[in-house]
Amino acid sequence: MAESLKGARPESAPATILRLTAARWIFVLCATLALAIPILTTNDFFITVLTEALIFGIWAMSLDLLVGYTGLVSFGHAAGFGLGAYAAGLFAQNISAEFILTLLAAQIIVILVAFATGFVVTRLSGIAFAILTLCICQVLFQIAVVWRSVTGGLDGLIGAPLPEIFGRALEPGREFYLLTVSTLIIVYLGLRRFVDSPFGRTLQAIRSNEDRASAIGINVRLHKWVVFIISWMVAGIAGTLFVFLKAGANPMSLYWLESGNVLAMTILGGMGTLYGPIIGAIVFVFLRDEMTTLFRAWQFTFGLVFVLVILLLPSGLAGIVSRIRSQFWTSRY
Amino acid sequence: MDISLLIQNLSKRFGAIEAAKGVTLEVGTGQIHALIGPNGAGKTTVFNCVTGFLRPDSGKVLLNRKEVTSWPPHKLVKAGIVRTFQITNIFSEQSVLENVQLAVRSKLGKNLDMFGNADKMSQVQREAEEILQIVDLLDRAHVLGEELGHGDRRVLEVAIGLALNPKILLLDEPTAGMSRSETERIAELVQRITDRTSILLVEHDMEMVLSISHRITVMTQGKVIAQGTPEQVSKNSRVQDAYLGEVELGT
Amino acid sequence: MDWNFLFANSLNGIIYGSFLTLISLGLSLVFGLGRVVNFAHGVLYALGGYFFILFLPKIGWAALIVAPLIVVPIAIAMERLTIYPIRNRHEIYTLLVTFGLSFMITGAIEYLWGTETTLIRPPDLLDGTVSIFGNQFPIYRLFAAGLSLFVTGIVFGFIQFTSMGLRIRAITDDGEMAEALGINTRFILTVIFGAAAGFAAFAGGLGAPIFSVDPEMGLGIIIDSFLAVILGGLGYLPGTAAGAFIVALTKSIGGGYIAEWSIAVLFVVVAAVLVLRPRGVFNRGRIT
Repeated sequence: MAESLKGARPESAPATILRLTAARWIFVLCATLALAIPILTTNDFFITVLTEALIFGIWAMSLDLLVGYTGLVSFGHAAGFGLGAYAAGLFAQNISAEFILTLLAAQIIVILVAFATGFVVTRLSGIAFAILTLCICQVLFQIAVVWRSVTGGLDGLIGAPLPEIFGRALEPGREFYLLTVSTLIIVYLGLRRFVDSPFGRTLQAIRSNEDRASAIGINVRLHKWVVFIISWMVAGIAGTLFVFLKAGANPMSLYWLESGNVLAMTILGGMGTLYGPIIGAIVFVFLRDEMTTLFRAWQFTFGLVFVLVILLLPSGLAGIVSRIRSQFWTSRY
Repeated sequence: MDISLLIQNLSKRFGAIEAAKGVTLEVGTGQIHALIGPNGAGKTTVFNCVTGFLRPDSGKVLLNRKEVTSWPPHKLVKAGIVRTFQITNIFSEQSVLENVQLAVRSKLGKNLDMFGNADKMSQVQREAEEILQIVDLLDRAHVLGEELGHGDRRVLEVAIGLALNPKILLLDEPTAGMSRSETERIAELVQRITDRTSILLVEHDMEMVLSISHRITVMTQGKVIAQGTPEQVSKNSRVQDAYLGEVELGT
Repeated sequence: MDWNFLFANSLNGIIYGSFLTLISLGLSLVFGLGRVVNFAHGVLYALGGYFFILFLPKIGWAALIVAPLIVVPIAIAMERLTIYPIRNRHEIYTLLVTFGLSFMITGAIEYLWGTETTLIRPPDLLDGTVSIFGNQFPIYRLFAAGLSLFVTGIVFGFIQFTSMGLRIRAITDDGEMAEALGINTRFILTVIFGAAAGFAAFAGGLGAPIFSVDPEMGLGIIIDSFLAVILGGLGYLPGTAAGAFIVALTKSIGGGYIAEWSIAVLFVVVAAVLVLRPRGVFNRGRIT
């Protein structure tokens, strides 16, 4: 009998209540700390790297919806991210750099593409789903490379204006960092609400036992389709922030290696937790920055770590956290 | 007496094999109807056709006089045809309570609700706890599915089915692999729930079948060879030949 | 209608299809036997190509045999260390771990051998072209494709006509039953895993003069192989062969007319097939 997927697990009622309150405090603490970073440090480089890490955190959370909560492994999750980046970049370059408008414009494009490709791809599961998501991503990559007139080909989009909030341009660095953190907090709260909703629980039921889910009247196909679209939407939000951060978009954002990266972040951090992938993204970005300056075998090392995590630590870093926590709680009782 | 489920002339073949041929049976409201027969007789095929997992080649399925042939599983569930599985098939990562709550939420049409808080739905929780009370699993409400013993899992299967407010509950070998006492527990449970739903069950445990069923249908090689009350069926010589051997009516 | 162009593309498609069949067969066998989706199968092909060009200057074309002989133990080690330990977990873990392995090995290849593409000349004996219907066609391509098909034929024959092949078919049909009958499934699985790796590596070397060798070759081939296997029906070997040719011809012909869009065309074709027949074109595979 196959062991089930590790993921979010419900516990006994009293432990849940205590855990929730503690969790809320931890959340408030982290959010406050994150918002206070610009005051706590003057290292601009650090802030920029952290911004990138948090953007990837949003991206990784969106993948967690698919992998951790619904059990759908996507090998092409760079698609929503890259598509969002290009759409936002083009909108900001040509029409308006007002952040909310750019975000909405990018979302429309992302939703349309996810709607169409999701319709096809969510009919499948397991390996077929994974390979086809990889294909979709490759197709988008090809489009980005070939459609020079619009996407700038291999050079990509060069130079996006600074994002604006109500007409006021945001400085890169601190101000943009605060925008990123705020977005992350809002997205996190929204997704937390989402996974605790009946819809979210239904997704987890699908991951746990798809046949049973359909036997109790759940429209599995529809749920997969909807979560697919939502995951692309959130990835698109990350992409929108990214194009402003990098002042441009590049087809390499749509390459399979990037899809592998975000998958690694999600798994390393701990799938099925929402906060795990954020941790995974932060660890990934800082590690990569350290490593690539140190030696050339980054991809190899990274692949190795990925494999080791799957073999030894399937619940990721978040799994370590919850294991420590459950030790702590057990000793209380 | 009202008829809850009517299966009319159901046929299904797989290549050259006629798994089910012209099967007809009816289940009265609040009645327990057992479908028995040797392995390979076609019982599971009938089950699968009725519950939307297979499309019958011909024949009809009617629920309370309404035709539901070839409807997809989730539509049938909403209409009131619910099944359990031969191989225990529960949500192992979820708690006993959550297993039932999933079914309750599904029945209440809340699956697509993205904004409510699943843990704070009191109506859902109440209904789930009520079901757990009926099947006597309430004290294990927070145990995870994968931690349950075999007997409890089969009971949970029934609970999930019951939570969907079925008009007819199709139980696929509910006592498979159970001890005598566990079997009695299930038999007693099945009888208890007839005030809520009709039952069609596939079973191999003859003693249990003869003691609790109102009517029995016997199948072999895809065809119905006998139908009637337990007494009629156990005296039917064709049935005895086919596989019952000597069986006496329950004590 | 440029018939020559179409013909050349079709012939190239058949050439590629022959290679893809040999490679995908291994993938399909391993899946059928052990329900293992080996995403790293592509990098085994790549390793075969790289070891081939490593040994070519030293021992000549014997490298075609030596390269697979090196890749096979690597593959078996891979299976023992990373796939076997997690065989009881949910299937996606195997998919993820082999995905990670591809990453790792591609990284290793880039680190050891750089990122350039290497082109190899065919051996003098087979260098040169032959005229087919007015088109000049490289002899080596025809030879290599023929050899691939020959090896494929041997594999099919082996499975169909030998007692080991019978055991393989038994395990594919019903693994538990086969174990109960005393068939040593663990041993056979390891052997087949190694053999599959060997064929893929062999194809990597054999195809080097045609398709060239670069660090990303593993990715392209794994996508195509999986598409072939899925199209043909998971675990159904004749289907895999058919799937491989469908993929190869779609890419060659579709790609011939709309070069960069070949993958898009492929995606549409595969998606359409899967939507209409989720068990593959012959409806004989396991449900995806």
